[in-house]
Amino acid sequence: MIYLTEFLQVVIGGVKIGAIYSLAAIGLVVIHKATKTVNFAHGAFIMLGAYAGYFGLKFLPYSLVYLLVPIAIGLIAGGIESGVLRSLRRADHFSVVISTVFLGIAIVELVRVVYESEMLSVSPVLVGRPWIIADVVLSRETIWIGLGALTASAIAVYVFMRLAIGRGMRAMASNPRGAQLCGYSVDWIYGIAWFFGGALAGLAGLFAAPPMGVSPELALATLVPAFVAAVIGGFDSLIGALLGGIILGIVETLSAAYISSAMKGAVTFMLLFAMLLFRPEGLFPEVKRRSA
Amino acid sequence: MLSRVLRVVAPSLAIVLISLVGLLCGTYVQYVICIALIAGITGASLVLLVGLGRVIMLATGAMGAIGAYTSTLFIEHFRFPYLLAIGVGGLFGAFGGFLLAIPAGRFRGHNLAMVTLVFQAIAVIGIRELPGTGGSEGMRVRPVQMFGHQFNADYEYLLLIGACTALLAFIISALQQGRFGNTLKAIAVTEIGSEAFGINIGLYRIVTFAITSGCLAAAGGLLAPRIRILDPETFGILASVNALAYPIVGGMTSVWGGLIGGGLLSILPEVLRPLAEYKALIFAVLVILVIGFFPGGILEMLARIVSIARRKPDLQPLPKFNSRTILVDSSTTQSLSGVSAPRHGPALEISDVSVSFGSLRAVDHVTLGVESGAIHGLIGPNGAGKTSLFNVISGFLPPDEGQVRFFGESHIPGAARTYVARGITRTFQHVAIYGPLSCLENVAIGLGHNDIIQSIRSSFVDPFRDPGGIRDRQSAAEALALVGLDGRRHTTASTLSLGDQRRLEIARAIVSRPRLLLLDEPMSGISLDEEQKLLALLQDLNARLGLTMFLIEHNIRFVLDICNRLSVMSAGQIIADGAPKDVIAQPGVRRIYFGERESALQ
Repeated sequence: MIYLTEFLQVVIGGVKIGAIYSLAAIGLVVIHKATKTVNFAHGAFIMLGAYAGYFGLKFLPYSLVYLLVPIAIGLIAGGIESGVLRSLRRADHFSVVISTVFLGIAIVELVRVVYESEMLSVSPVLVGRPWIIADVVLSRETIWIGLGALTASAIAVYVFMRLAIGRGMRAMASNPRGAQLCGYSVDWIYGIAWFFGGALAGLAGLFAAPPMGVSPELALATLVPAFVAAVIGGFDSLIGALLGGIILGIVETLSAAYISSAMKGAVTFMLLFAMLLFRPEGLFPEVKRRSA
Repeated sequence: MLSRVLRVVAPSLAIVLISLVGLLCGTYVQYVICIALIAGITGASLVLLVGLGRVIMLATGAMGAIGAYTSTLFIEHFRFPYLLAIGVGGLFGAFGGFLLAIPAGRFRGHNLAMVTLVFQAIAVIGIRELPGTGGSEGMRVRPVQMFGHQFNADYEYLLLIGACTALLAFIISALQQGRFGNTLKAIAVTEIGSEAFGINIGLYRIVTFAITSGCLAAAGGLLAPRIRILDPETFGILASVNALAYPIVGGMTSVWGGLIGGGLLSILPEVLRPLAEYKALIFAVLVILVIGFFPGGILEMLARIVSIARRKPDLQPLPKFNSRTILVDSSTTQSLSGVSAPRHGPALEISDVSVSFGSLRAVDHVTLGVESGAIHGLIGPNGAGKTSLFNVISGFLPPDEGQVRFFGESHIPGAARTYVARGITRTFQHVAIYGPLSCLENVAIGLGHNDIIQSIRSSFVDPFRDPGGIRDRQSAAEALALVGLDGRRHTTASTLSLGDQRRLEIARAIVSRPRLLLLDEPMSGISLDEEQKLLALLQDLNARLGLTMFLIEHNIRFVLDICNRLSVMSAGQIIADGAPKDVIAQPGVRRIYFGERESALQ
C-alpha cells in the first residue's frame, strides 16, 4: 500500500511537470503547423516568460501577470517573426531554422549578460496547507500548476482546432500559395502563429518558474522536453503534443524516482529515439499523405 | 590533372604553411594558432554535414567531448600512444554520429536537428554523472607523450596539431570536392530526383553524420592537451552553437569556408579580450547578419570582390541546336548505342494494380503492357490517376494490390533507387535537376554509380589517377552532346532555361543506357519551338538506341506525333488502348478527354 501511495505521488509530480511540457510543446507545434518552421528559440521565449513573471510579480497581482506576460512574450515572438525571420524566409527554409537557433541563443545570452547566472525563485500562486487524499499529498502549487497548465493547454488545442484562425494556419502550412489565393495573408498568418506560439511559451514560463526556478538554463531545460513531447505526439498534432508532454513528464519523473536522476536525461533520449525509429508519425498521426 | 590534385590538397598546404609561419612567432601566438586550427577543422567538418547535408548539427560539443574524454581516458588507463588514442576517440565519435543518424533514413532536417540537440543535452548530463570523468570538477589531461618525448613547448604542440589538422583537412577536402560531396549536394536539392538515380539517401546521411562526428571527435581529442582540464562546460550547448556559426560565417559549401570561419571566429575573442564575455551574443548576432545579408559568408564576399576586380569573359555562344546534325555524327552515339534493347517481349507489364488514398481509389485495377521498342503514351483528364500510376511504376509508391514487372522479370520491383541499375530511368514533371552542380556533374550522377563506398573511394582516388572517373566524364559528355548541350558542360544547371533543363534531364536519364525511359509530362512548360526539338530528340533516341519510352503527356499534338501506342485513363481505369489515331477517334475518349457531347458526334 505504501508503495502504491509513493507511486501515485511520483505520477502526480510527473503530471505537474508534464503539464508544463505540454504547454511548451503546443506552442512549438502551433508555430510549426502554420509556418513549417521548428522554432529553436522557443526555450528562450519560455525563459523570458519566467523572467517577466518574476519581475511582474514585484508590482502586479497574479491575475494581471498571468494575463499580461503571455501577451508581452507573444508580441516579442510576433515581432521577431515579422522583423527578422520574414526577410530571411525569401532565402530558404534552412536559414530560417538556423536563425531561430541563434536568435534563441542571443536572447538567452542577453539575459545572462544582464542578470549574471544566479537562479531567481518565484513563489507559487496558491500557498497554504497541502491537501491529503488517501495518503497522497497534493500541494496547492502542484494543483495550480498541473490543473492550470493542463486547462490552458486544452483551451489552446480547442481554439486551434475549432476556430477560423486555426483553419487559416493549417491552410497556410499545407499550401502557402493556395491559401494566399483564398485571401489569407502569409505575413498575417505567420505573425499570428508566432504571436500565439510565443504567448503559450510565455504562459509555460510562468508555470515553470516556481518548480524549475528562473535562470538562463531554463531555456534549454524546457526546449528539449518540448521537442520530445511534440515528437511523441507526431509534431503536427496539438492533442498529441498535450498528451506527449504528460507522458514525458510521467516517464521522466518515474525514471528519476526509481532508477536515478542521471537516468532521467537518458530515458528522454531513448524515448525520442524509439519514437523516431519505430513510430515516426507519432502516437497521434495526421492523415496519410498522398504525394510521393 | 595537376590542378585537381592541387585543389584537393590546398587546404592542407595552407594549414602547414600557417603552422610553419607560426613557428616564427611568440608562444602565445602559437597557442592561439593551435586553437584556431582546431576550430577551423571543426568548421570544415561541419561543412559536410551542415553545408552539404543540410542538417543542423547541434551536438558538436558532445562529439568533441566524446573525442577528448575517450582519448584522455585511453591514454590514462590503457597507456595508449597519443595518436592511436586520438584515432580511437574519432572512432567513438563516428559511432556516436552513426547512432544519432539511424532515424535519418526516414527523417529530414528538423527532426535530426532536434535529435542532435537532445543528444547534446544528455551528453553534458552524462559527463557530470558518470564515474571516471571527474564530473563538473573537471578532469586533468596529461601533456602529450610521443616516442618517449614529452611535449611541453607551444611550438611542439603547433607542429603536432598542424600535422594532424592538415591530414583531417585533406580527408574533408577530398570528400567535399569529390563525388561524395556532389552526391550530397544532389540530395539536398531534390531527394526524389536523387532516389531515382540510385542514391541511397538514408545511408548517405548516416555516413555523413559518422564522418563529420568522427572528425569533430578527433578535433576534440587534439584540443584536450591544450586546454589541460576537461569539464562539461567546455563541451556544452554553447560550444555546439558557436561551432555551428563557423561554417555559416565562413561559407557553408566549401571546406575553405569552414576553415576560415572557424579560424577567424576562434581568434576573435582572443583579439577582443574585453568582449570575451559577450562571445556567444556576438556570434549569434553575427550569424543572423550573415544569413540575412551575406548568405554565402566570407567566402562569397571574397569571391565577389575577386570577380569585380577581374571581369569574367562571357559564356561561349551555344551552337544552334539541331538534333539531326548532332545525331548524325556517329562518333558520339557509338558508345551510347552499345547496349541495344531486346527487340521482343514486353518492357513493362502492369497487372491489376490498385492504389487507394483513404476512400479514394486513385488507380483501380489497371492492367497495361508496354512493348519493347515502343513509345507508349498515357493521357487522361486531371485526377484520372496517371501520376499515381506513374509513381507506382517508378517505385515511389507501393501499390495496394497488383504488381509491376519489367522485361519479364518475375520479382516485384524494389525501391526506386534500384531502378537505374536495372535499366529504368525517368524524368520529372517538375524538372528535378541538381541546380548547384554543373551540367556534366548532373549527368555523371545519372550514371548511377552512386554506391556510397564507390563514391567515397573515387573522391580520394579520382584527383590522382582514375580511368573510371575519366570514362564516366566521357560518357557524361557524350550524353550532353546527344541532347545538344555540349557547350554547356561546365554551366551551373540552375542557370539553364526550362527547355535546356528538360534536355539535361533527358541526358541524365539516358547516360546509363537504360532500356526503358519513363517521361512524366516532358512537354509541360515548353515553347512550341522547343517542343519540335525535343520531339526530334526523343524519336531519334528511340530509333537509334531502341530505347523504349512510356510517357504521360497532356499535349495531344505531341502525343499523336510521337507515340505508336496510346492508352487513356479516366477515374482510375484504362478506358482505351491502341493505335493513337484509333484511340483518339473513340467516342468515349472524345467525351471524357475533349469534353465533346454525344450529340456533337452524331
